[in-house]
Amino acid sequence: MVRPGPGCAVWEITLKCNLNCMHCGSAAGKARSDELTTDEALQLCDDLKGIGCQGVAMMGGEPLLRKDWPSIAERVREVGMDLSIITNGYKITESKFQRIFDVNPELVTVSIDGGHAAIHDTIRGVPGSFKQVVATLRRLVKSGLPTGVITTVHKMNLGELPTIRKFLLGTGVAWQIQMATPYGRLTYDHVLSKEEYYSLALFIAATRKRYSKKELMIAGAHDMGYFSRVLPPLQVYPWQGCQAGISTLGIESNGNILGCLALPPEYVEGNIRERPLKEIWNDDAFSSYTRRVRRTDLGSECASCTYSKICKGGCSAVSHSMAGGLHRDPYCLRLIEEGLKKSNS
Amino acid sequence: MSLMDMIPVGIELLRLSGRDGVYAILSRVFKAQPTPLAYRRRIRPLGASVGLSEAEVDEVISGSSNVTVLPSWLKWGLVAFIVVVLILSAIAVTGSYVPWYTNPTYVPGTDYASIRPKDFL
Ligand code: SF4
Ligand code: SF4
Repeated sequence: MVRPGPGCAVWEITLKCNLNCMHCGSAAGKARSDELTTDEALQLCDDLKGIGCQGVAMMGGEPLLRKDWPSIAERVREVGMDLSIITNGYKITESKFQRIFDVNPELVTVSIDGGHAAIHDTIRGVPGSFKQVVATLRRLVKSGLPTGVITTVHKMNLGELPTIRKFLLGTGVAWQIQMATPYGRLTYDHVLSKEEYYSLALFIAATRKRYSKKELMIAGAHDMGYFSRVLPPLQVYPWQGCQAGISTLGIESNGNILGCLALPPEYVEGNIRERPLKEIWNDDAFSSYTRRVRRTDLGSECASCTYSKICKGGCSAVSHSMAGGLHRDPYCLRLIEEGLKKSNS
Repeated sequence: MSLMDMIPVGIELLRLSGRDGVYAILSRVFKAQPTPLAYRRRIRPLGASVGLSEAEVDEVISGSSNVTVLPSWLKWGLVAFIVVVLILSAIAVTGSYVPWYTNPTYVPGTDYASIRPKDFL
């Protein structure tokens, strides 16, 4: 069966990175020994287009450390896909900026994890990285290129959000806030508790209410919240269940394919060196954990939830790491609210 | 699951299909939950930990939460009420038919990695 292609493929073009972030889900640092060659990467662009993919989010590691990133980016554009680049914003030289401007992506996103240098640098593992990312952000904004900021939240930087907000007000960037999950380098003790997660949701909702889009465009990541009884939606687009293998696709730098890059290695379902992408994507068995969910797959609380048919039990990556199985995401505002109500009565 | 339970699902489907205005009105009226003072007191410290004042927390959790604040048109009489009930029944029936094997269509470039300023327009 031929399926519609993913709206967005998230492609780690290299695992090489010049920072050492404590929350890095892929524990990036050194390049993989078997990363795709330039020819393979260019062919993959064509193959992505071939399955009907509409956009590529180029990330890493730090994608701009891969020498041939401009060729890959250009090919993505040539075949007619949208391109976004997610960079740590560290040590971007003027010539790199020029290459970015030449490629003219739909979006460049940088990561800011603290409102103060001390916190950002500690989280990112390299002194001076805050100063650098601020300079990068200013340069991007000045260029007029659509720019985004991602803040990945865990125990160490939850309290930083008001300061980051102050910094981003009026800059015209789109600010995405997401929760760090315990993969790669992040340990469980740094993951937000459910109550802290609720604080995060309150922050996003209150900020969306307080500021106009002109002042600040802010949203939770696509997998945040679900169907709260009290809070307004946190995202730009409505949640419709985990999209791994449905409208997104994850690609590792060695050609491994999985439904979503946020998932751990056991979810790798093929490699483009061994099997054409088209075959992997159109295989009925690919990503069956999201493509064919039955009520019996859901955890008990999700199975009895009114919204289960739309939600199907939340984010697979969060559910796997925090509940030990799929379709039972405990970081659901609806469930947390029930807990808060009980603890209140 | 009862037909009544399916009303919120039907309302969410309106949002999924891009009918944001209708979604906003219906969710305000029918998905709303009162937020008692005791519950607000429980939530306020959670907001304080991210720099939100009590008033900000109250405002955000009461924005869509008071079933007593019905739009005046809804109070205009039995006929209007019946029409609304009929519409909701239709929505609920739709909600009850949401298939498990969905294959949504996709918005290019949005969501699954990061959002763009354009996504907010
Ligand atoms: S209870 Fe489960 S199915 Fe319902 S909204 Fe929460 S995560 Fe989704
Ligand atoms: S695993 Fe989580 S991050 Fe990945 S597509 Fe599913 S909901 Fe999104």
